Amino acid sequence: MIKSAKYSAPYLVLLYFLLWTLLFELILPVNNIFPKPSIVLQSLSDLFKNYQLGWNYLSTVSAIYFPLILAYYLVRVLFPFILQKSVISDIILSVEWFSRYIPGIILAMILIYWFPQSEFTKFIFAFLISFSAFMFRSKHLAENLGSEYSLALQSFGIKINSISQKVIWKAVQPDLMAHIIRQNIYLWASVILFEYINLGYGLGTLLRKILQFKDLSALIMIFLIIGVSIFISTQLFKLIKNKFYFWKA
Amino acid sequence: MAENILDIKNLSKSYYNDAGIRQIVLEDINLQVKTSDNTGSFTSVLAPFGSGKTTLLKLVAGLESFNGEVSLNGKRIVEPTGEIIYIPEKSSSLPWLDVKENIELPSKLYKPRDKKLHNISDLINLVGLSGYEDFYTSSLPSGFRLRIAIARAMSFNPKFILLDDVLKNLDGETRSELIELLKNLATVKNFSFLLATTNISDAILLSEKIFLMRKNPGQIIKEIKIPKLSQTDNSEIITQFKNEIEDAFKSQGMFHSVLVSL
Repeated sequence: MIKSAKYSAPYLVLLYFLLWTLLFELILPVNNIFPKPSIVLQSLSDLFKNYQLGWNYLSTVSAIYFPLILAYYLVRVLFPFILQKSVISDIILSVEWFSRYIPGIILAMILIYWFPQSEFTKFIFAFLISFSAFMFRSKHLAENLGSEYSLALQSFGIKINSISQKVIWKAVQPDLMAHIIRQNIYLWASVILFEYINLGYGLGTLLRKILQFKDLSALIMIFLIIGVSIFISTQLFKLIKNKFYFWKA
Repeated sequence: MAENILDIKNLSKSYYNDAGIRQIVLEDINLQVKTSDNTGSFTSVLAPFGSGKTTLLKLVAGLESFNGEVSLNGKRIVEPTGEIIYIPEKSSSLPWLDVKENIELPSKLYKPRDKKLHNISDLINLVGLSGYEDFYTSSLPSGFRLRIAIARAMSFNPKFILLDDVLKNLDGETRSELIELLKNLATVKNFSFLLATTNISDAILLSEKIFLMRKNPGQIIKEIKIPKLSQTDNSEIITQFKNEIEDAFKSQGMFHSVLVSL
């Protein structure tokens, strides 16, 4: 019987760093493939001085998480209406069909075409992506939730809007949080790509400049920063899910 | 002494299936349950699987539209009023709330807040949940979750509590305990219950009156009155009713294998 080996992520990361240091710091210090770890580390101060990493990082992070939080609370407020069957909700939800076949970046290109080099546009873009994802997902989860919660409370004469907002919304939270965790990396990629095309502030714009200057050590450093940021934010979401949305409905 | 009459007249319900064909679930259901504020009652609808028991209870609670008439004390039921509470087969306890919060939930969500409610602490004692008030319901077995649902229903002082095959998935001991609890709530505390079940033994042990319902489509075929029995009663009396029920179903071309027997 073959037993699948389970590797612990922190040990793997440590192992790769050791390999990198061993190969490119000690064995192959001069090469065209990968920069030395020490040079990558030095590039951090260059990134802050020459590329305004601080502002650009803040711009990207705020463009990801402000719209995400706003979208979450807006879907929460609109949740009873999302669940109701009406012409308006049908029209809004028909967008879901398009989103299955058209990648979000097409929307980014249209927004960039309409509002070239506007800093505000990426917030709208990130908001639309988060809002539509939360709306479709929460509706899907609510529809697949057993009817027992709703029926039992309706028989008390409690209005369906109140049940949707106070009970159904809460019941779908663990799965919705799991979706946010999965959505996190997609949102980072979308916003960075948007910035890369739009050219304004942000890590995407910074990446474009770095590629123009062919600064490999800065490029690796940016990848590390993005990776660590996604890792930390994912862990934070997992912590919120385990602490506040621990149940299985 | 105010009398409560739940009257179901010519009740029918049909659905269109995925193929667009109309399927009659319930046809011409007629039954009447009389009780009063000072004397509880226990009535059962005994029917095979898939006969429309759940649908019948949902219609009685005003949760779905139907043809025919359901009235409580002469007042037609067209939407849920809080006077007839429905307890579904699956647990409806919310896993993020503790026992007490679950029982209090309807009173917190109901508006306007002018409902005369039962004391929650009394209800917790009544259903045997004392000491478990702070427990999350997800950590409790299904028998406890049923007790929560019953206490929650009683908090509104309803005229009727509808039980949708709620004893189905309980083990023997828990089932016996809950049968005793339900009998006690009906006879001593004067709550009125309408149970839909597939289990002959549950129906006989709990009810004063059993309505037998056939399937395809769901129709009431017989009404049987049962004297007060206990779980330790002579099995001869119970067997006598069991035979009567089985004969009634056999006369409809249905055998007891479609029901859960004694």
